[in-house]
Amino acid sequence: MIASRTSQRSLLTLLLWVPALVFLGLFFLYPLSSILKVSLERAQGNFLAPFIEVIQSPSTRQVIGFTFYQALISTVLTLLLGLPVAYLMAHYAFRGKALIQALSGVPFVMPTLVVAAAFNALLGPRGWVNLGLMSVFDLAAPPIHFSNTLGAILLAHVFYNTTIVLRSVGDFWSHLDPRLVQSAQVLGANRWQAIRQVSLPLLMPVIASSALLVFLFDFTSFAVVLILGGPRFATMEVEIYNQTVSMFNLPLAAALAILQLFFTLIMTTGYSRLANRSSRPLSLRSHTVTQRPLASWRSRLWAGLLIAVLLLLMTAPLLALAARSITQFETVRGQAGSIFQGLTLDYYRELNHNPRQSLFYATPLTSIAISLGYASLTIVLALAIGLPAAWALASDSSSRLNRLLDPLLMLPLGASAVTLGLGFIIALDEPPLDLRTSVLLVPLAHTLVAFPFVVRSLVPAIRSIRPRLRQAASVLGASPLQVFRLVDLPLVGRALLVAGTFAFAISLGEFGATALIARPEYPTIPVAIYRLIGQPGAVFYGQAMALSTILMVVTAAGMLAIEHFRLPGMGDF
Amino acid sequence: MNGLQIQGVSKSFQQNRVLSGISFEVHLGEVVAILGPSGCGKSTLLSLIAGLEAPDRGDILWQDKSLAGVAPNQRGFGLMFQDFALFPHRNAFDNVAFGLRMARLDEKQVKIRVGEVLELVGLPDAGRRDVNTLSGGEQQRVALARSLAPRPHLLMLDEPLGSLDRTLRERLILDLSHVLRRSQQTSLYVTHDQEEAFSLADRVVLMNRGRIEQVGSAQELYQHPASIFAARFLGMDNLLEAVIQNGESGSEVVTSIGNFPLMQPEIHGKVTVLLRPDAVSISGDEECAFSGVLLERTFRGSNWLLTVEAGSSRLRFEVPVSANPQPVGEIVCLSFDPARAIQVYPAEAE
Repeated sequence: MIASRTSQRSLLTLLLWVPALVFLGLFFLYPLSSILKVSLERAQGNFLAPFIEVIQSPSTRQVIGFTFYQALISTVLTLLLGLPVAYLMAHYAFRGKALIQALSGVPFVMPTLVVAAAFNALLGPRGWVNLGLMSVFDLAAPPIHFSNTLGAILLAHVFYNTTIVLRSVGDFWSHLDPRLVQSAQVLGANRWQAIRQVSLPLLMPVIASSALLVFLFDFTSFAVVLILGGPRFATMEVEIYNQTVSMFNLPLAAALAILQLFFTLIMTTGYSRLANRSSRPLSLRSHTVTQRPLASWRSRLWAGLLIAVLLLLMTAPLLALAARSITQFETVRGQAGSIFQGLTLDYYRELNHNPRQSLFYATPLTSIAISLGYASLTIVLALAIGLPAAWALASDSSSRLNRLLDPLLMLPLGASAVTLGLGFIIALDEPPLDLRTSVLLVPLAHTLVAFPFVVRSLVPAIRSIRPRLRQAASVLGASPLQVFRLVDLPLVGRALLVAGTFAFAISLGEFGATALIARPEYPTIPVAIYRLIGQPGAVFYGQAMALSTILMVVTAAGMLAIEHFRLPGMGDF
Repeated sequence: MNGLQIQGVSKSFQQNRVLSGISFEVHLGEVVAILGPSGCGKSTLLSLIAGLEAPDRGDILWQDKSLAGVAPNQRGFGLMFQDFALFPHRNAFDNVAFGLRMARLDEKQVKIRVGEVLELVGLPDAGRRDVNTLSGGEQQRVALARSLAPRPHLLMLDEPLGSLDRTLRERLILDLSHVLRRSQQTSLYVTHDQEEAFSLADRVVLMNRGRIEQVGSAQELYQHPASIFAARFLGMDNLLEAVIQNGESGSEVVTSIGNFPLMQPEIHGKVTVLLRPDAVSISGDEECAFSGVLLERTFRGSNWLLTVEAGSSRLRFEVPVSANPQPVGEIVCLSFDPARAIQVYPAEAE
């Protein structure tokens, strides 16, 4: 009796896993193996040959070198800004801190296209700073060359990833027992020695793991490098895209993708090792014990300076973007600079304009509709596949099956977006699975990206339902289906909302995979922004700004909703 | 020569007065305990002396030189925290050696000194052990060794036995006392436990709500608690509301259980009277100072603990075994020597 019930239960668990397993098999593992197959086409017996060829070719070697180089500098710069601010946030209480903490989370969730457009609006040739300098000093050309520089890439990366350092290191630091440092001080260490000999060694695992995560993000950065770096700079991610889209050299793109996957796998393994190596058993304390006011004017000055830099970096580009989308400038022949024409909503109105009256041209407004459609499909797909898996995972965490399959869910995080797109192009455009013209192609890719987030935000909520509630309901006469509808669903409702919003926001902002697989006549918002930003002319530029602003606002609203609805302790990675 | 002098020190955190007007001294070679309930400002006082915080007002001197503006690492003081704050990333040896290395001793001397202090605290072989695997008592000893190693002018101990269980604590009090005496270590010992304070310290500073209530030896404190708080804190809670009246034979204390002669002529008006629990004896009817109903009697080996209802108060007394009290429920007659048994305080402000 008991035996049959346990076997029934594990059968149910297995059934719940089926959609996720089929999905990951068809749309993640199969495409990846297709990439591997294509990359090995030129192997001629020696299966390492294509990769050695890639490494030995001067042009790709330069790309690989640059990918590491820019990621390294970006990471160092991110730490240089992030660690002092983390120290400040961890040790001092001051006014406006909560606001700064909230604001510092904004960049991390912004779609890459919005970030690229935002830096363009601030520092690009048609951005605020250049326009301002041109009109003040009466210059004929923009004085600051920001676009297509390494500096632009680095700045955007620091903008993006400082949050990671702030959150992980700052949080750990603020809970570190202040008595350890005080003990060191009393034993004769000065403030710097105490930090170096006591705080830093204890923080090292968390600093290393967050640095590795930052490096990983910088390493696979795509849109930022593609748009802000221009044609001169290419990371492996951008090169895979270029080889696929412009050169149609799929074998080379595939070899690069496999090589990149190899690197990222090493990094993610290192990351989870570091993150899991539970640093030493520390007695962590609550914030209030560890925080003090900024007493001396010197500490106030330093704090003010740091916060000013942080706030400028985090808010200026996004504000510039919003402001640029409603301001009109006119270049007048024979006169230097541009002339401010006043505020306008024209760029938003133009979003519905079809300049060539072409039937095949998708207006930016259409892209919004397309994005919303794809996002809705993504929500449905992600929840339909994610909910059963989350249920299986939550109902019995000790089951062997679950422990075996759990890491599988996180796998899509390990592959870059462009690699996923490439895999779709190679694998899903021919029988047995020809989805080239299917409306599901893009939502499937988005679901893959959103899947880990969806499952991770559902599991804790499902776990929080006490079995007693279900038992009470069924004793009172509810059928299993009624129990699900009347007990489980209302309790999981909030988590479903959060998971759905994750899927929605990720789908709206996804660019790497979409850029490869979206059909030209069905662009998503990011794809439309990318096209507009590359076009000459003030109107297209203004439209790009307007469309980016819309995407920014919708994403921010989505993230606010997630913050609002999520239960404490949910969605931790 | 003067050791530590605290002169009128006050400290607030965000309009919250934590210490006001604290003054006392610690002589060289002396062990002084700061005793008080939690939240009385003891730990803040240690932070000020260590230099981890700065006083708002007042001054702290070491051998007649002000310590204002001297960084914690320049003071040459030691501080041992309640939960020891051992560096979890270093083994026991490196924890103990930390202060010596900060003082730039060469490794040979470091090794010698670490060996000495580990020996002193009774853990001669603990050097290579991971501090996270040490037991509570061992951690306490390593922390003590770490604080002692650089030979601090003044060693401050913040509830060093507070986190340990009772039996371990009783054993360690003696060990600790022994170590401090043997190294003639000038020490300041913070605790909320009067037993600890009394058994370790030459003198005790009793604190309450950021103020000093009383300074003195354990015996002085116990025999003449200087305030109602001091009396209560030391476990004497036979307190009665009373008024002073001028009778024919001098002043009298009028209480609900009877009138007694006043021995402290400087007090007037409403007062609170402490009836010391150990200064009362059972007597025959003719010497009766007051009487009451015996509610409870507990034999405690060395004495009887009696609970007596007199007037409207419940009072507790300790009487010798030989007193042989009557059964519960009967009236008992009690007498005392007013000079020894009665202490009168101005009434508590309400």
